[in-house]
Amino acid sequence: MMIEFENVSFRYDPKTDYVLNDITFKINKAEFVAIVGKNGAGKTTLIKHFNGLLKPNEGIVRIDSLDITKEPISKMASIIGYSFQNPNHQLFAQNVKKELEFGPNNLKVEESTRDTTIQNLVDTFQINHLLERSPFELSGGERRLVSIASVLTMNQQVLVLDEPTYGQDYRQKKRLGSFLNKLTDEGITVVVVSHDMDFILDFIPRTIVLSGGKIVADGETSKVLSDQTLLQDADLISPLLLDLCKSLQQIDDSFTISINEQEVYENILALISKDRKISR
Amino acid sequence: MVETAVKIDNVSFKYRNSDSFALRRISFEVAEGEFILLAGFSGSGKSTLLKCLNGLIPHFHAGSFGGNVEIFGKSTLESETTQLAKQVGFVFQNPENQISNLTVEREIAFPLENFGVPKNEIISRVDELIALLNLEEIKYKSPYSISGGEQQLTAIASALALNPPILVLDEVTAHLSPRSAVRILNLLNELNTKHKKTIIIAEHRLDRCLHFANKLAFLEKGQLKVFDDVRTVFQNKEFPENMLPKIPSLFLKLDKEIGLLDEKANELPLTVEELVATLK
Repeated sequence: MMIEFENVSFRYDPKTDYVLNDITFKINKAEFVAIVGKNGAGKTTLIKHFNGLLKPNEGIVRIDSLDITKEPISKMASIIGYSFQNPNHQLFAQNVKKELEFGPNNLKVEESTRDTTIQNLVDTFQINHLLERSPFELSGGERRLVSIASVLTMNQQVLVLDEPTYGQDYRQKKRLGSFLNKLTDEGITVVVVSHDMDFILDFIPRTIVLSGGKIVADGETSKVLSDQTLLQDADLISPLLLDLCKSLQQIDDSFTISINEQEVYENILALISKDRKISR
Repeated sequence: MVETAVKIDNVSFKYRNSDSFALRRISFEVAEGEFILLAGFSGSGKSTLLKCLNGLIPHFHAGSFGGNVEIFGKSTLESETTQLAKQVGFVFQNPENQISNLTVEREIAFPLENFGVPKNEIISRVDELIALLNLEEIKYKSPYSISGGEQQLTAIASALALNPPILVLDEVTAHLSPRSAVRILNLLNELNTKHKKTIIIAEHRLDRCLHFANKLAFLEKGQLKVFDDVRTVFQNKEFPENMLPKIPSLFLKLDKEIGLLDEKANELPLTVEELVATLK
């Protein structure tokens, strides 16, 4: 489904400043988008508008043709899956299996469909050994993973994940990234709020930067994240590969800047072979 | 002669409600003043191992404990946790688990008050820590109203209050923005090099701290797979390839292709600066 914001402004209290200030953008069906920004930039406020948890003071938010101000939250909840930043706000069941079954049971999903979906998630994230354990006995990273899986069980058309990689190791991040990529291939729209630059660079093609309640950049991830000013705005630090390229450019000004690992590797190879030819 | 700060001897541990061991026959030693980086996938036993260092295991967590942990020659089995608190400062992943006071200043003073330190000493020690960690601006603020990074700095200051020679940190940057994470990791380096603290840290952001570490311990399914000098671990390929930090990974790939190690570098570079130096 498509998400569309048209001149959206929002403030929590009429006496305070706007947290979202005249925001307009469109996320197409099956897109995979990262939203980045400093604490207080308005990220969480923004994504709470997707499912109608918050409603704009001005402007319109549409999910496909649905105007979220006119739809009940229960309807939006069946379309949009939302995973919170802190898994402890979300987990409650006796064991992981029950945690994963809760969503589909609530939506009255047929048992066999439910079990196939859950099995698929269990295999993808390799969490079979956790099924009988209490979610509260798990390690921090495992808990976060279960809280994300429990949202993915409901097969919603739009997924909104707030800092999904917190506490995840590289292996789990890769599983999550590939799985979300696969979902977008199947037509699901995925929006991720994150500070995890490596995750965004590796998996998410488009990045939106929020600053002071406004969109200050929106475009191809590799372009957005190689802009020093934008990085500063978003409370991000420059990726190591960007630092490396800039230093190498000082040695040889023809060195091309990239934050793609394979490209940087090839550029360095080229630099060294050029250097070797000269020294011969 | 350098003293042995921590001696872990054949340690195994199984949580009461679990079927399998979280730690299996782990042994290694940490000399005073070392910086040890503990790596491993989620659920590999990192947090469990760290909890053995300040006596939380076996004194608070029920389960079966085997082997022995010594802190400066004294077994944790024979030490009270209150005594261990003077030797080992502990910082958790989620600072909210650790915070309980009205102001940052009171939070830092809390352990000192618990030990009945005279008031004038408390005041001067708290001021010293506030200066050391640059917390002047938030001294009188509520620890609940400050940013996650500031909360974690407050938690570190509080862990340092009793001036323990050893500092143990469990994924303390997991919930922080990259900028705050780097600030914390740099601070730990300073505490290690300038203030001679022995540091043992579990951390996923290897890229940003491996050059601070003397040794790298890699845990897998509760077993210690390798414990050695950081460069040696990477060079001998004793570390999972998909977890390799960016700069060493890039260098090893280049080295494999065109042989850099003898010609251009004596040792494996860990940082952007080191890599650039080998390419000059």
